[in-house]
Amino acid sequence: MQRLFYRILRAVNRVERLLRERLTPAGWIVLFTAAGAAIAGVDTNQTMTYQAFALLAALLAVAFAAGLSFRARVRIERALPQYATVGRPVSYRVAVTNLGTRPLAGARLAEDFADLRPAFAEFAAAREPGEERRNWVDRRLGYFRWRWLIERRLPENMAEAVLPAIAPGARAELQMSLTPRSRGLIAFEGMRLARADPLGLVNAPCRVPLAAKLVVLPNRYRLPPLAFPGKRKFQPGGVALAASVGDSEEFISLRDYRPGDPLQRVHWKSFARTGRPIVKETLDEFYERHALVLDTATSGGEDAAFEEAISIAASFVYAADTSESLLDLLFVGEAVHGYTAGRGQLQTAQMLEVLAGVRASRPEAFGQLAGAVLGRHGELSSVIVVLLAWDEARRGFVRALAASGTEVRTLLVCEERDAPTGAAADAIVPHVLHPGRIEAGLAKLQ
Amino acid sequence: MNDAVDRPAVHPAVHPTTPPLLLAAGVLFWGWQTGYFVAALAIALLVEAPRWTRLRLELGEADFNRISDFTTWLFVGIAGYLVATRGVSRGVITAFQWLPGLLLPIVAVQRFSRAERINLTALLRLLRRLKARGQPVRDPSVDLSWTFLAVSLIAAGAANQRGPGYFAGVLAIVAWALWSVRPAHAARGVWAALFVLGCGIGYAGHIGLSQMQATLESVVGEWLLERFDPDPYRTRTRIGQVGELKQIGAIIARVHAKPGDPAPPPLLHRASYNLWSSNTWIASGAPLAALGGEPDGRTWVLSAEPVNARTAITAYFEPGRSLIVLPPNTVRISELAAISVARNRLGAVQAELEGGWIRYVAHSAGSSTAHAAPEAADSQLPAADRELFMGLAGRLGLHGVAPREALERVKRHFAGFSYSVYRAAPAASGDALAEFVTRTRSGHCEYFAAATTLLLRAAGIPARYATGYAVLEYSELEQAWLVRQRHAHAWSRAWIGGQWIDFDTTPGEWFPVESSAAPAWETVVDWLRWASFRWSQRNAAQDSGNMWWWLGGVLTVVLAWRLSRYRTTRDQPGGDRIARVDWPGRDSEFYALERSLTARGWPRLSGESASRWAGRVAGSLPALQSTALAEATQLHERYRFDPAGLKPEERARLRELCAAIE
Repeated sequence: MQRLFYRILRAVNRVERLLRERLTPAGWIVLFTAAGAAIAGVDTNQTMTYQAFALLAALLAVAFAAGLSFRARVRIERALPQYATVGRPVSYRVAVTNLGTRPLAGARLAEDFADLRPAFAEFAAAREPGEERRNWVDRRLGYFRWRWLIERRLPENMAEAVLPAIAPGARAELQMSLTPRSRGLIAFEGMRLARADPLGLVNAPCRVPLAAKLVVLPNRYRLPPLAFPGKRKFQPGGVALAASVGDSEEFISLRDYRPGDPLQRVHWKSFARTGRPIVKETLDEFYERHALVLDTATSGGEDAAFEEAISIAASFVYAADTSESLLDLLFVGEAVHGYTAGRGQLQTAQMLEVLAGVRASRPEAFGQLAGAVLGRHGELSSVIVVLLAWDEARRGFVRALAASGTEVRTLLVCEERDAPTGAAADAIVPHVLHPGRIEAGLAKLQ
Repeated sequence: MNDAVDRPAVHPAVHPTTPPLLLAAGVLFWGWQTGYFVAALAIALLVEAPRWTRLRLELGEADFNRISDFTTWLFVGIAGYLVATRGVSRGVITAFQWLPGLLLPIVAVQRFSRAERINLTALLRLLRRLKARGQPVRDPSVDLSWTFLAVSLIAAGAANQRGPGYFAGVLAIVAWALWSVRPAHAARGVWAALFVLGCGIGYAGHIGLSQMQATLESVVGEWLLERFDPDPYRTRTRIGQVGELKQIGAIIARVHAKPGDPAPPPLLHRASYNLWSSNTWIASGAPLAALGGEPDGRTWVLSAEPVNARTAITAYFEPGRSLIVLPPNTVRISELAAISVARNRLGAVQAELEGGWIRYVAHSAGSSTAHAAPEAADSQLPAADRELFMGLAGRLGLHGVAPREALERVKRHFAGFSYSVYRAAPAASGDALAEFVTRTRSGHCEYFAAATTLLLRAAGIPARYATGYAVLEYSELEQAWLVRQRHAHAWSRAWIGGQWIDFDTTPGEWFPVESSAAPAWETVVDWLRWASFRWSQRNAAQDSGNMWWWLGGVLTVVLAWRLSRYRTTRDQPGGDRIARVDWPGRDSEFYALERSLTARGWPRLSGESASRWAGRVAGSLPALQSTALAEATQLHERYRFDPAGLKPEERARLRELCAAIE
């Protein structure tokens, strides 16, 4: 049944998108009036409105046919920035050159996005924020979820730009803007040039392929000045791609290759000379290594708390000083993912890009994440844990991490109704933050 | 290559409102089609008045919500009432017809509001609820003027004024509307050519639609129409139809009798038929012949027998020709305000009426010659059923017995049958009437009446199939016998002793069975029906439509009184629409800047805050100007809302920034 609803929503969305693209505001009014007249005039003996329907439908048909003659030969160049941030307007310039032999007047320009409709698997698995508060019918039909899934991919404030009249061979530049609604990737397929037919009812479109992608980074909050606690620790094997900073490149000796040695350690000259792989050994490395553990295992889907948790993680990534330390970002998807910033590893922007693509995972996946973090606690100076719930599994994880001697700072992001109540059984108390009031909550962070 | 110098503008999200007088034209067109001239004139003046008066209502979001809810409930209440009292078809069409009047409160309030637009959430309660729950809701401001124009055109069509007037009127108004919004790049000649082409196709299209319906009706069958409009020449029975018979509780007639008065005749006759073919009864050789009325124009004589009973009836009729219900042996009808009356030789009387609740008095005699003596058709048995009914008549011993004895035997025979409004799908296709007589022995009144008629004919007694209503439900509230649509009944008329007598073999249980199907709320609905009926009978004109003008008048007065309690403002002369209310910051130069930018193609939307508007516009301005605009907006908002106000140097800075951007 859910698949049937999905197919219906998909089909309706296609028609709606088509109508939105093709009809002008006057065209919409004519269409609705014609529909009303058709309903009222279903029996031609009872009312006369079938005559209004016939007239309006004929005008729409004529307008549609007249629009078919619209042809535009243009070259469009779009200068997009590399990154955008959720909720922050982005402006960019678009240049349109008229390659045709006739002036181009009365046209409007709009972005044409790739198919925004979610796949069935995504539709079935996703949960719209607050979906649990919807009634049974809405939850079953999933219309609001469907709309949410599409709208979050579609930037806000995507007004059509009115092109000035462009003479043959002339070029016009204009500024367009958009405001991303959610983090991730915005895929542009091309641009749509549209001009209303002479009756002003139907837009005649002309699509110009111009594929591009814009990475939307998560929102970030101001953090109070924080000292990441912890001490320098031995890092076995060192940093795989470390630049020549500090003592990590101090050469000690050569030895035979052992399975597991990174390829970068191979001493190629010796390899060539001896015919067997030889690796170089460097001095052991001691420096600070912090971990940012992001809890993505939730049954609530990508709701407000989830997005806020990602924003908090992004804020830490952005604020952390990685010139003399490392920051591991750990989260779980299908498997546990770990990314390291600092000392020649990933840049801050790349880490934010990783966070832009983080998706919610199954609730059971938290065990995997906890195991992975506890497995490397010996390397870590401190751990910042951003949690979405405060259940027994998470309490146990934080307790075990603290018991291992690692400095732990726990942040819990949840709605007010889900906040832990009563006196804590042990000394570990998370810093609770509520969606919508994150910045104020972070300001109180010690 | 020469670069375009025109600066691109953001496509305005605000669509132009209707041009002057177009809305009035639409409403007056509605008035012309429906006959509500006075109301249309008043509405037209009201919706166009804001163009000439500076009077504006200071309405907040909650006020709009309340007026919108009032309009919704007004429409729902009246539409529900119309459906309950006039039936679905007529009720819905009438509700459509009254739409401009019903929507007037919200449209008038929007037109007189300062923003001249209304938020979508005000119109939709559901959106309001979602918004209250904190869910993200898009709440654009909308202009109902175009919608109101569209509604006026549709409502005008619901009046069903046949002739070229409607098409011509719609065409003129649509041409005016489309001309007012035609794109700047469209050449006038091309626009005109396309419009004429569209009109031509539309004209051919509406003729085609009308003909298509006619063809469809003839192909599918006339049964659709017969449900609503009884035909004196034929009646297609529901014999053989599988499933439940539909029971409708709408009251179609009232037979007036005070407690203690003699009960009226149990059956009101509408039409009789003499030929049975393929589940249809046909009035063969019985054309309608016009009756000459008496000099008073309200009395119609059917035959000359002396009157011995009179029955006062009020029945509901659609405008046009309708069959009227009469007691048996009616010889004269009085107080019937009909344009013309005709009857056929089988006793059906058709009157041309203006429609609505119409009262008349039927005078009946002991016997009447209004119904013609039997002819060959009244004794005819169809070949397909001859063997069945001849055999049955033989088994019941109807041949050779006195007619009255034969009637007794037939009555006894059908007493063993049961009444049912449900028919299960038969195992094999076949003659449903034969199945009723031989196997199921259960059915509704049409089965009994048809079988009885054919059985009597098989016994040699001329018989006809009669349709009408049973009069069995007395209402203390109304002090009248109520005749509902579900009381429709069929029976036989047998020629006994030189006159036609009604002979009904349907088991007496049929009435309780059908009454049990009445919904639980029927009592409440009946009360409303009675109230409406009483109101419609308040004067001789019996024009229930007038009631609504009274009601509308009262509501308008109440609404006007309520609105008069809101604060009103009057715009400054010279096009400056700043209200004459003193508030801090009214001399800010930002307003001049806003007007200047609006003129350049960046209008500030209704309900849009200055900062949001500035943010939207900044994207389209050069970098320097957009920075200045952001700073000016901030200073302006502080000037407007900060209790501490601006320092003199900040005030000067605001002036300077606005001038620089302008």
